[in-house]
Amino acid sequence: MERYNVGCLLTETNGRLCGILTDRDIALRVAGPARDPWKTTVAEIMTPDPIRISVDKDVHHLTSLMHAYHVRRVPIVNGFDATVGIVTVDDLIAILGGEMSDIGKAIAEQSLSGSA
Amino acid sequence: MSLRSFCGKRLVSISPERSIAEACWIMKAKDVGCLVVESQGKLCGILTDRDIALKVTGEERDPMTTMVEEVMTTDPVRITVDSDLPELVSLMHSRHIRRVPIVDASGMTLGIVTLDDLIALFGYEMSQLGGTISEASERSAA
Repeated sequence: MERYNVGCLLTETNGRLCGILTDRDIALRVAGPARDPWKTTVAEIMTPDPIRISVDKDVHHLTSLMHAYHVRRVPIVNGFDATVGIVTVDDLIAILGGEMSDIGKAIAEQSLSGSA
Repeated sequence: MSLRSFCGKRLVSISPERSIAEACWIMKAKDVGCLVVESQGKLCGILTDRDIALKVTGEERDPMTTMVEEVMTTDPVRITVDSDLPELVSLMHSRHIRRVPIVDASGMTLGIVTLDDLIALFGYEMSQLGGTISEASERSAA
Protein backbone atom coordinates (compact mmCIF):
# COMPACT_ATOMS: atom_id res chain seq x y z
CA MET A 1 0.00 0.00 0.00
CA GLU A 2 2.85 2.33 0.84
CA ARG A 3 4.93 1.45 -2.23
CA TYR A 4 2.06 1.90 -4.69
CA ASN A 5 0.52 4.79 -2.75
CA VAL A 6 -2.90 3.17 -2.56
CA GLY A 7 -5.37 2.83 0.30
CA CYS A 8 -6.97 -0.34 -0.89
CA LEU A 9 -5.94 -3.77 -2.22
CA LEU A 10 -8.09 -6.25 -4.10
CA THR A 11 -7.84 -9.87 -3.03
CA GLU A 12 -8.05 -12.56 -5.65
CA THR A 13 -8.03 -16.31 -5.44
CA ASN A 14 -7.84 -18.57 -8.51
CA GLY A 15 -8.20 -15.48 -10.69
CA ARG A 16 -11.48 -14.42 -9.08
CA LEU A 17 -12.23 -11.45 -6.88
CA CYS A 18 -12.74 -12.61 -3.29
CA GLY A 19 -12.14 -9.58 -1.08
CA ILE A 20 -11.10 -6.00 -0.55
CA LEU A 21 -8.65 -4.72 2.06
CA THR A 22 -8.29 -1.05 3.06
CA ASP A 23 -5.80 0.85 5.19
CA ARG A 24 -8.67 1.43 7.62
CA ASP A 25 -9.21 -2.35 7.97
CA ILE A 26 -5.54 -2.67 8.98
CA ALA A 27 -5.77 0.20 11.48
CA LEU A 28 -8.96 -1.00 13.15
CA ARG A 29 -8.69 -4.79 12.81
CA VAL A 30 -4.94 -5.29 13.31
CA ALA A 31 -3.49 -2.28 15.18
CA GLY A 32 -6.68 -1.68 17.24
CA PRO A 33 -6.83 -5.16 18.82
CA ALA A 34 -2.97 -5.30 18.87
CA ARG A 35 -2.72 -8.31 16.54
CA ASP A 36 0.60 -9.39 15.11
CA PRO A 37 0.75 -8.31 11.43
CA TRP A 38 3.09 -11.23 10.66
CA LYS A 39 0.63 -13.82 11.95
CA THR A 40 -2.56 -12.16 10.73
CA THR A 41 -3.58 -13.06 7.19
CA VAL A 42 -5.30 -10.80 4.68
CA ALA A 43 -8.24 -13.25 4.61
CA GLU A 44 -8.86 -12.69 8.33
CA ILE A 45 -9.39 -8.95 8.09
CA MET A 46 -10.51 -8.20 4.53
CA THR A 47 -14.12 -7.56 3.57
CA PRO A 48 -15.02 -10.85 1.84
CA ASP A 49 -17.16 -11.00 -1.29
CA PRO A 50 -17.31 -7.23 -1.91
CA ILE A 51 -19.84 -5.37 -4.05
CA ARG A 52 -18.58 -5.43 -7.65
CA ILE A 53 -19.72 -4.21 -11.03
CA SER A 54 -19.55 -5.87 -14.43
CA VAL A 55 -17.38 -4.07 -16.97
CA ASP A 56 -20.29 -3.69 -19.45
CA LYS A 57 -22.47 -1.64 -17.04
CA ASP A 58 -22.78 2.13 -17.42
CA VAL A 59 -21.81 4.98 -15.08
CA HIS A 60 -25.40 5.55 -13.98
CA HIS A 61 -25.58 1.96 -12.77
CA LEU A 62 -22.29 2.47 -10.94
CA THR A 63 -23.43 5.60 -9.08
CA SER A 64 -26.68 3.96 -7.96
CA LEU A 65 -24.69 0.97 -6.73
CA MET A 66 -22.35 3.25 -4.73
CA HIS A 67 -25.35 5.08 -3.31
CA ALA A 68 -27.37 1.97 -2.43
CA TYR A 69 -24.50 0.10 -0.75
CA HIS A 70 -22.67 3.11 0.73
CA VAL A 71 -19.38 2.12 -0.90
CA ARG A 72 -16.84 4.44 -2.49
CA ARG A 73 -14.70 1.85 -4.24
CA VAL A 74 -16.10 -0.73 -6.62
CA PRO A 75 -14.01 -3.46 -8.27
CA ILE A 76 -14.80 -3.98 -11.95
CA VAL A 77 -15.05 -7.61 -13.10
CA ASN A 78 -15.50 -9.44 -16.39
CA GLY A 79 -17.87 -12.31 -17.16
CA PHE A 80 -15.59 -14.77 -15.35
CA ASP A 81 -15.56 -12.64 -12.16
CA ALA A 82 -11.90 -11.81 -12.77
CA THR A 83 -10.93 -8.32 -11.65
CA VAL A 84 -10.20 -5.95 -14.52
CA GLY A 85 -10.05 -2.70 -12.52
CA ILE A 86 -11.41 -0.61 -9.68
CA VAL A 87 -13.37 2.63 -9.79
CA THR A 88 -13.71 5.07 -6.90
CA VAL A 89 -15.92 8.02 -5.99
CA ASP A 90 -12.82 10.18 -6.48
CA ASP A 91 -12.49 8.98 -10.09
CA LEU A 92 -16.10 9.96 -10.77
CA ILE A 93 -15.72 13.36 -9.08
CA ALA A 94 -12.60 14.06 -11.15
CA ILE A 95 -14.46 13.25 -14.40
CA LEU A 96 -17.58 15.21 -13.43
CA GLY A 97 -15.40 18.13 -12.29
CA GLY A 98 -13.71 18.19 -15.70
CA GLU A 99 -17.10 18.08 -17.49
CA MET A 100 -18.50 20.88 -15.28
CA SER A 101 -15.49 23.02 -15.95
CA ASP A 102 -15.94 22.54 -19.73
CA ILE A 103 -19.64 23.43 -19.48
CA GLY A 104 -18.75 26.49 -17.38
CA LYS A 105 -16.23 27.64 -20.01
CA ALA A 106 -18.73 27.09 -22.83
CA ILE A 107 -21.32 29.22 -21.01
CA ALA A 108 -18.79 31.96 -20.23
CA GLU A 109 -17.71 32.11 -23.88
CA GLN A 110 -21.33 32.23 -25.09
CA SER A 111 -22.18 35.11 -22.79
CA LEU A 112 -19.01 36.96 -23.90
CA SER A 113 -19.87 36.57 -27.59
CA GLY A 114 -23.51 37.47 -26.81
CA SER A 115 -22.54 40.74 -25.14
CA ALA A 116 -20.11 41.70 -27.92
CA MET B 1 -20.78 30.94 2.97
CA SER B 2 -18.82 30.96 6.22
CA LEU B 3 -16.55 28.15 7.37
CA ARG B 4 -18.43 28.38 10.67
CA SER B 5 -21.09 26.05 9.23
CA PHE B 6 -18.48 23.23 9.19
CA CYS B 7 -17.60 23.75 12.87
CA GLY B 8 -18.86 21.78 15.81
CA LYS B 9 -19.99 18.55 14.21
CA ARG B 10 -17.81 15.46 13.87
CA LEU B 11 -14.73 16.95 15.49
CA VAL B 12 -13.09 14.09 17.36
CA SER B 13 -9.90 14.94 19.18
CA ILE B 14 -7.22 13.14 21.19
CA SER B 15 -4.20 14.15 23.22
CA PRO B 16 -0.69 13.49 21.76
CA GLU B 17 0.31 11.39 24.82
CA ARG B 18 -2.42 8.80 24.26
CA SER B 19 -1.61 5.39 22.79
CA ILE B 20 -2.36 4.30 19.22
CA ALA B 21 -4.54 1.50 20.62
CA GLU B 22 -6.74 4.16 22.26
CA ALA B 23 -6.78 6.18 19.03
CA CYS B 24 -8.02 3.08 17.14
CA TRP B 25 -10.73 2.55 19.70
CA ILE B 26 -11.93 6.15 19.35
CA MET B 27 -11.84 6.01 15.52
CA LYS B 28 -13.94 2.86 15.58
CA ALA B 29 -16.41 4.07 18.23
CA LYS B 30 -16.93 7.46 16.57
CA ASP B 31 -16.77 6.05 13.03
CA VAL B 32 -14.18 8.55 11.80
CA GLY B 33 -10.98 8.08 9.80
CA CYS B 34 -9.14 11.00 11.30
CA LEU B 35 -8.49 12.44 14.77
CA VAL B 36 -7.47 16.00 15.51
CA VAL B 37 -4.62 16.07 18.03
CA GLU B 38 -4.80 18.85 20.60
CA SER B 39 -2.44 19.86 23.32
CA GLN B 40 -3.68 22.39 25.90
CA GLY B 41 -6.61 23.21 23.67
CA LYS B 42 -4.44 23.97 20.66
CA LEU B 43 -4.16 22.04 17.42
CA CYS B 44 -0.81 20.24 17.22
CA GLY B 45 -1.39 17.33 14.84
CA ILE B 46 -3.67 15.16 12.79
CA LEU B 47 -3.83 11.35 12.84
CA THR B 48 -5.49 9.20 10.16
CA ASP B 49 -6.32 5.51 9.96
CA ARG B 50 -3.80 5.33 7.09
CA ASP B 51 -1.03 6.68 9.39
CA ILE B 52 -1.80 3.83 11.77
CA ALA B 53 -1.86 1.16 9.04
CA LEU B 54 1.45 2.28 7.48
CA LYS B 55 3.47 3.64 10.43
CA VAL B 56 2.35 1.32 13.22
CA THR B 57 1.23 -2.02 11.76
CA GLY B 58 3.44 -1.61 8.67
CA GLU B 59 6.52 -0.90 10.78
CA GLU B 60 5.65 -3.55 13.37
CA ARG B 61 5.34 -1.09 16.24
CA ASP B 62 3.31 -1.99 19.31
CA PRO B 63 0.04 0.00 19.30
CA MET B 64 -0.14 -0.24 23.12
CA THR B 65 3.18 1.54 23.64
CA THR B 66 3.34 3.76 20.54
CA MET B 67 2.07 7.26 21.28
CA VAL B 68 -0.14 9.36 18.99
CA GLU B 69 2.58 12.05 18.76
CA GLU B 70 5.05 9.54 17.27
CA VAL B 71 2.79 8.77 14.32
CA MET B 72 0.69 11.90 13.71
CA THR B 73 1.38 14.56 11.10
CA THR B 74 2.80 17.39 13.22
CA ASP B 75 1.68 20.98 12.76
CA PRO B 76 -0.84 20.28 9.98
CA VAL B 77 -2.12 22.76 7.41
CA ARG B 78 -5.09 24.63 8.92
CA ILE B 79 -7.46 27.41 8.00
CA THR B 80 -8.83 30.22 10.13
CA VAL B 81 -12.58 30.35 10.59
CA ASP B 82 -12.92 33.79 8.95
CA SER B 83 -11.48 32.51 5.62
CA ASP B 84 -13.87 31.90 2.74
CA LEU B 85 -14.69 28.85 0.62
CA PRO B 86 -12.44 29.72 -2.38
CA GLU B 87 -9.47 30.09 0.02
CA LEU B 88 -10.25 26.65 1.45
CA VAL B 89 -10.52 25.06 -2.00
CA SER B 90 -7.23 26.56 -3.18
CA LEU B 91 -5.50 25.46 0.05
CA MET B 92 -6.68 21.87 -0.47
CA HIS B 93 -5.55 22.04 -4.08
CA SER B 94 -2.10 23.56 -3.51
CA ARG B 95 -1.23 21.37 -0.50
CA HIS B 96 -2.83 18.18 -1.83
CA ILE B 97 -4.87 17.58 1.31
CA ARG B 98 -8.47 16.55 1.75
CA ARG B 99 -8.99 17.37 5.42
CA VAL B 100 -8.38 20.80 6.93
CA PRO B 101 -8.83 21.67 10.61
CA ILE B 102 -10.58 25.01 11.21
CA VAL B 103 -9.05 27.18 13.94
CA ASP B 104 -9.79 30.52 15.57
CA ALA B 105 -7.29 33.38 15.86
CA SER B 106 -5.71 31.83 18.98
CA GLY B 107 -5.12 28.44 17.29
CA MET B 108 -8.01 26.65 19.03
CA THR B 109 -9.62 23.95 16.90
CA LEU B 110 -13.24 24.70 16.06
CA GLY B 111 -13.90 21.98 13.49
CA ILE B 112 -12.62 20.08 10.52
CA VAL B 113 -13.73 20.32 6.92
CA THR B 114 -13.16 17.60 4.37
CA LEU B 115 -13.23 17.32 0.59
CA ASP B 116 -16.29 15.09 1.02
CA ASP B 117 -18.11 17.92 2.85
CA LEU B 118 -17.41 20.25 -0.07
CA ILE B 119 -18.45 17.67 -2.69
CA ALA B 120 -21.71 17.07 -0.78
CA LEU B 121 -22.32 20.83 -0.60
CA PHE B 122 -21.60 21.43 -4.29
CA GLY B 123 -23.67 18.38 -5.24
CA TYR B 124 -26.62 19.84 -3.32
CA GLU B 125 -26.16 23.29 -4.90
CA MET B 126 -25.91 21.73 -8.38
CA SER B 127 -29.13 19.79 -7.85
CA GLN B 128 -30.86 23.04 -6.72
CA LEU B 129 -29.59 24.81 -9.85
CA GLY B 130 -30.72 21.89 -12.01
CA GLY B 131 -34.19 22.12 -10.41
CA THR B 132 -34.33 25.87 -11.08
CA ILE B 133 -33.48 25.37 -14.75
CA SER B 134 -36.04 22.59 -15.34
CA GLU B 135 -38.79 24.62 -13.59
CA ALA B 136 -37.94 27.69 -15.67
CA SER B 137 -38.07 25.76 -18.95
CA GLU B 138 -41.37 24.10 -17.93
CA ARG B 139 -42.87 27.52 -17.23
CA SER B 140 -41.76 28.97 -20.55
CA ALA B 141 -43.14 25.90 -22.36
CA ALA B 142 -46.56 26.28 -20.64
